Amino acid sequence: MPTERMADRAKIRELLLRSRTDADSHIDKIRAADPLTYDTLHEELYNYVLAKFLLEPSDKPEGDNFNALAELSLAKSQKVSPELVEEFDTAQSCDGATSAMAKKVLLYMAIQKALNIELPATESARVKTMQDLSRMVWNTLTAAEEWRGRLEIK
Amino acid sequence: MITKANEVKLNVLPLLCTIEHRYYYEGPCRFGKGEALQPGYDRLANAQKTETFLAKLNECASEGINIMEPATVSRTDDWENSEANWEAIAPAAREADFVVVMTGIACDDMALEFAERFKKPIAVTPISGFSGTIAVAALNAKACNEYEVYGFYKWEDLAFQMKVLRARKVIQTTRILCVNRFGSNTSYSSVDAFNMHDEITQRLGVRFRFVNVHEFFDCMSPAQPEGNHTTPGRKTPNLTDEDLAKANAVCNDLCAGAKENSMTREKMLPSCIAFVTARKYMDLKDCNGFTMPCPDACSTRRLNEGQFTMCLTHSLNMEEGIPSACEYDTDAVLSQQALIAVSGKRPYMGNTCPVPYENGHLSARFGTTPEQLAELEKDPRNHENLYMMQHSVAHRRLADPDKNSPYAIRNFAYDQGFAVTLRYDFDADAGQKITMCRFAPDGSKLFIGTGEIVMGGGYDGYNCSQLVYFRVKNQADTWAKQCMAGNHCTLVYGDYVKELTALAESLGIEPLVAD
Repeated sequence: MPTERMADRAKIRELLLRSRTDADSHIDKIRAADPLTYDTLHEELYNYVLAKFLLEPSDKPEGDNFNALAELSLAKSQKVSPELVEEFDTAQSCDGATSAMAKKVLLYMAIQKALNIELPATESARVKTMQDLSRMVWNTLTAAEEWRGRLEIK
Repeated sequence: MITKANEVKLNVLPLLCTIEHRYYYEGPCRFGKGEALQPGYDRLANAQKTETFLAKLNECASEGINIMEPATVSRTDDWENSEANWEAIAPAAREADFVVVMTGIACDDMALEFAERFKKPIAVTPISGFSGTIAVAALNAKACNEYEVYGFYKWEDLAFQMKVLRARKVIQTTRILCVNRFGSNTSYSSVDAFNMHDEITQRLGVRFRFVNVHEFFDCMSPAQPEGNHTTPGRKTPNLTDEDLAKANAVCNDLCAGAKENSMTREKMLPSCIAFVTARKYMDLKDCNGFTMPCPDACSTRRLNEGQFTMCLTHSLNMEEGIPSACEYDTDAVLSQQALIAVSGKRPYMGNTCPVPYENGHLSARFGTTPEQLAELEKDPRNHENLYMMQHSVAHRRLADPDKNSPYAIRNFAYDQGFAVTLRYDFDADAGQKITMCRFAPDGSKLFIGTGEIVMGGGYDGYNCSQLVYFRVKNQADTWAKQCMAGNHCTLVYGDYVKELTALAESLGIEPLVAD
């Protein structure tokens, strides 16, 4: 039994490492694009979210529903292992915030850090689809000093 | 302007009490991992929570509930409490009728301070979890006892209470046009009406506006150059060509829709003019309720002279959701308003009493006929718990507030054939549940009863013979409790006991619910 558990942990660690590397690669593609187009941003951001949520391209929900992605990720991670839930869903608050909310906020925090931007709070809470997310990030990039001149504005 | 009950909005202010941590740390009040402990996380997390809170609150908002733009009192873990923040939300706080708070750990003091500053009814919602009781208990325990505060652990309870508070606002914004002849408190036939207007205003918020009955009657005819007899030389709201056209239109509409009509158009028109005059005065005085005495006015002989009664006015007002009561019964006006407010339906009113079974027969009461009683006696279920409500102010919108039911027109006056009454066949609604109510004359209690319609009466009749029979659960208990309220009860279709009970409680009066 101890050997099996160790093997599971090793697998989980590998899965986490792979997802982090995968996620980083999509951010790198966004950063490297010159100029960055909206379509590239959307595609790479979508893949980034899938990687962060430990999901596969085949997990894409109908209508690109962002909340559904967060919930699917939670369900999957809970099924895989309690450790994964702990890793990815630790922001348990004592004031009514749900796990799905926390998951989304952690993702936003990661996007902010990766792209050096500050997302608008109210709009971030209203994101329903992956297109909404991409649009919010795109609009934030257009206003950010660091990204000025690097975006293809149609 | 006549503000109907369904136009009254409850302004609900969502109050967002939030905190943002400025530094990374963890401890007894802060836990999480990694980014969840970093500055900036709370900004986004609060937005998520707010969005969920507002979505839930909007789901709770039924018709007449206006969810305002949210107000925010926020701070950081520096624990600042800025006056500028309070000043910024003061206008919204003043406009609000009810404040619904999103709070959480280390935010409850802001909810408490809001209540202390603005003294508005305030509620904490289920989203606040265990925080739901903190500010609530603190406010409930204040020695001054001047806070109205609710803690809800289920959203459906909040939704219900918002409906109740809207109904209370409807009551508090009722302004009754009282067309009086002698005293302005009660008339000779309804001494069980509100007997001290100022006390009712203080207790329930209702306002009373007065017009002298002779001045009212004078205004039912075109203006004379020298002014009316009662107010010589004054400009008065006398009947205009436009008013007459409106009265004719009402008359035409009634004639066109009636299944049966015992009256000539000529005999109907004065009642229609009385209705238009009543509405005109209500509009001028910004009233949304109406009453006029019957015996006191009748004995002036001017109703006979003018060939009308106010029955039609009451019917047409009620069917449009405007409370309107016979016999200067201000109490019945407000009781109707309470039913309209909680149900959105259209009320009926009348003399209300048991029909007792004595010596092997149902005893006759005013309006009953031997044929009706014989028919009712056939069903033993009618022997013990039969009640009746009787006045010829039925109308077309009892069953459906948006659609006319079939009706007949018959004259009130037997001998001369004048005065329109609308006749509704209550037989069609046998089996229908009803809720009735009436305030106590001092406004300290609200009698609430229920029943099931058995049959109607007086559809084919004239005068004040229209009535509805219904079975209550307990005749004796219903009567005992009704004796604390009075005669003219009002009813709507459906069961609204829970709503009326909650309304009475929110008005700070005692609900008297019949068994």
